[in-house]
Amino acid sequence: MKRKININREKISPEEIAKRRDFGSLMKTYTVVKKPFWKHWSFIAGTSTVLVATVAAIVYLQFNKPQNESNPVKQEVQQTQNTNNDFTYDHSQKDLGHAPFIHPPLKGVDVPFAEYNVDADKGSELNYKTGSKIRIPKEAFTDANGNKISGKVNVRYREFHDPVDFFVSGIPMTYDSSGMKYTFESAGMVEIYAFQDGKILKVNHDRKIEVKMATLQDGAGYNLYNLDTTAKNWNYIGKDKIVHEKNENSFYVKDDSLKSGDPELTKLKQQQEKTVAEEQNRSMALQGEIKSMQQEIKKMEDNKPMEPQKVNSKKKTFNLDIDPKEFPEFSSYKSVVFEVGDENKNVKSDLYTIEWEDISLKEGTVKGSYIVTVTKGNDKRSIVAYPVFEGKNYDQQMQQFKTKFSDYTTKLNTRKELEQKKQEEYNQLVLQIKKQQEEYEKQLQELKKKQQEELQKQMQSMKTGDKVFRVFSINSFGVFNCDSPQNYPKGASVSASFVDNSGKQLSTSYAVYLVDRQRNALFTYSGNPCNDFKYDPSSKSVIWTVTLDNDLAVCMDDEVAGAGKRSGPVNFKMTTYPKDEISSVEKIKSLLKIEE
Amino acid sequence: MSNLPSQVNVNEKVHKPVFMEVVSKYHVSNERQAEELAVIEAAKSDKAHFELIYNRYHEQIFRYIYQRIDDKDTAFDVVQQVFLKAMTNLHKFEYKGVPFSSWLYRIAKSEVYDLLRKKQHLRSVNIDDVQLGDMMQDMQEETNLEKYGQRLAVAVAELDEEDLQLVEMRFFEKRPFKEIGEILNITENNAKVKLYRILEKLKKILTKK
Repeated sequence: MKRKININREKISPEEIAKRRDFGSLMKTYTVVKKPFWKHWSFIAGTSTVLVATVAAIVYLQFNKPQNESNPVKQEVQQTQNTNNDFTYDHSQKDLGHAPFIHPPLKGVDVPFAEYNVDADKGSELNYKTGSKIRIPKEAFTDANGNKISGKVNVRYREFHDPVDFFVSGIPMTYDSSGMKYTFESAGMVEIYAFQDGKILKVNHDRKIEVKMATLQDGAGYNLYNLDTTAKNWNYIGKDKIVHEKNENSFYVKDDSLKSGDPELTKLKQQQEKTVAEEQNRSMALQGEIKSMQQEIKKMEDNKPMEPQKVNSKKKTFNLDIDPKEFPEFSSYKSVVFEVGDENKNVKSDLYTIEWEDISLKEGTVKGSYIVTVTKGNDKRSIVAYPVFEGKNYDQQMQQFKTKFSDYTTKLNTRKELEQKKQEEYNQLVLQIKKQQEEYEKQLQELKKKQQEELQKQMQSMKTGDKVFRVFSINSFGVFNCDSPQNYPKGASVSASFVDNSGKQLSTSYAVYLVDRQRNALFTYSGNPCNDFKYDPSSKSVIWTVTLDNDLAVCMDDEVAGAGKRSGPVNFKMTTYPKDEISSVEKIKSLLKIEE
Repeated sequence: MSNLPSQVNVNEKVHKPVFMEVVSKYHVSNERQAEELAVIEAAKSDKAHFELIYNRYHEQIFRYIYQRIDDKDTAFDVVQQVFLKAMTNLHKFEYKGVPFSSWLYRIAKSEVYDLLRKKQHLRSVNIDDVQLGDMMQDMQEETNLEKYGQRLAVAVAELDEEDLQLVEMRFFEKRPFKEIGEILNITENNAKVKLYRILEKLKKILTKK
């Protein structure tokens, strides 16, 4: 992406921005946008002339041709009809000045519609080539004003089952949910419309149409979405019903809790929950023990025996009558003398001569200091003092101190060692929990892989044996998709350039498509180079795009895997296939090795 | 228990960059957020209520867009488009811990890139001297704009889109990491680590040239 650098661009003032604030205009646009564009007057005016001119031909062709889905003459007729009536194509939208929303990237290549003639008064069951059935009840159609339709109705229907179908259709497979973009992993998508006299019809809300779509995806994790061409997004409309058909008269609804109901997974989860609970209890108990030990150590350190100090003959001292209960650290000291600290300024000499009525003692801010407060009447004075010892008392106290200190040190070290051991035990536990969690994740991954393999096997058997259907009812026409929103592939995020065999960057105005062969999804990227191209190097993937000449440029699995990088710039070498080699959906599937 | 291993890890200083503290002008208080959510709920059924939200965020969203698009008029059009999209999709917004403003920014981001993809406009990178100075400070580089300013601006403009966005949000729009994370849908820590790596990358580019 080319960029323009502006240094010190002129700032825009808040006033100027405020002037352009226009909620009224926003509301007007909102009201217009809410109305589907084909109802807009400009659409009607712009297309009515063409409609009038083609109605006769369409009616004639629709009601006078055989019911053969693969008849090439019919395909041509459909294309003619689509250009005029089918609002899912961008050709008409371009004329209206709308940005194309559904845009088939290859000219002349698309999944064809099958067409059916239905008697609206009787209803019908339509069979599609994949085995899907569309059950249309009687009186299922109305006109734009809600009036019931009688007589012959032309129904057009098609299905999309793999990434090539999605690609050629140009139907966007991204889903915007609360501002987050996802790509759909699809279990199948259908598009259905009904027309009478060239006019598009609606579904009678009291007579819903049932679609029983044949599918290869048997999973339960898919939702049903309807494409909103006005809002340009998919609307979630609920869940479909999965049906296995053994024969025409026997249906059974499959238990769709395959993945979450896996007994191996349940056992693994229960075991993990039990282990986590046990480990959490042990971890909490250890943390508690360590905490109380640390508190005890702190308490011991706070009550460290004080080394007795010798009296300084140059300093003033005084005696006190000490209550040993209140000051236990003095309990073993006898004949304590207090020395007046140097921090006391302006100590009046009468301090030592007055006979004080009351005296109190509390610990000072400096370790080993005390604040002595004496009171007589209104006279109250405080001084900072330090306990000291004289002569023999000092020697005795020192002796006792040494014994006590040695005892204290031994006890403290023992505590600290014990605390250290507990700490190590806790660290080990943390490591163990981490390892255990990793092991659990590994087991989950293995189980997931196993489940996927089983699912693959099931799908294989479905191809030859039972048929699986996704059944849902519709009360409007358009595009319906059984999908599971997925994130982009993980593993590598590179700055990708798509080059031809000579290393020259390809010119393309289209998206770049990636298919991870493990997933039934079409991931789209924009730009060449693409600065944030995500893919999974450990999975098999194919990349392609459409050149400006409408050729297909492809990078097959081996080339993609050969790129090898997980970050930084990567060149993907693309082989170009000209138009005649990609002239049908089947040819493209065969070329890309993507088959239903 | 400050010496437990988990806490030691959290406080590890080895690779942590020192980022200047940013006070967000975009911050939404809890009370205001609650009020905002009530307005949004009301606007879901009656779009007229959306006006308060529109007025509140119009300037912020405009500045975000104009930072990335060179043409003023186009930027104003895109702002309208962003709010139109927000209104149309309002029923889809559910509060799950991420503020409504971050949802708006995500829409704005998507609209800007849509426009750029259609190649109607060049992606513009707008930098001023103050922002360059802040960046150099955070990179702990000599704040010599004459010597390095132009080089740094070019290096920034050549960053990957994702990296450029981080730099823009952090240094040009002065957003806290929490908010950047919410807009880009990554964790706050991830945003920090990424930005640290970008600054390292820029440092290397500057010293190479």
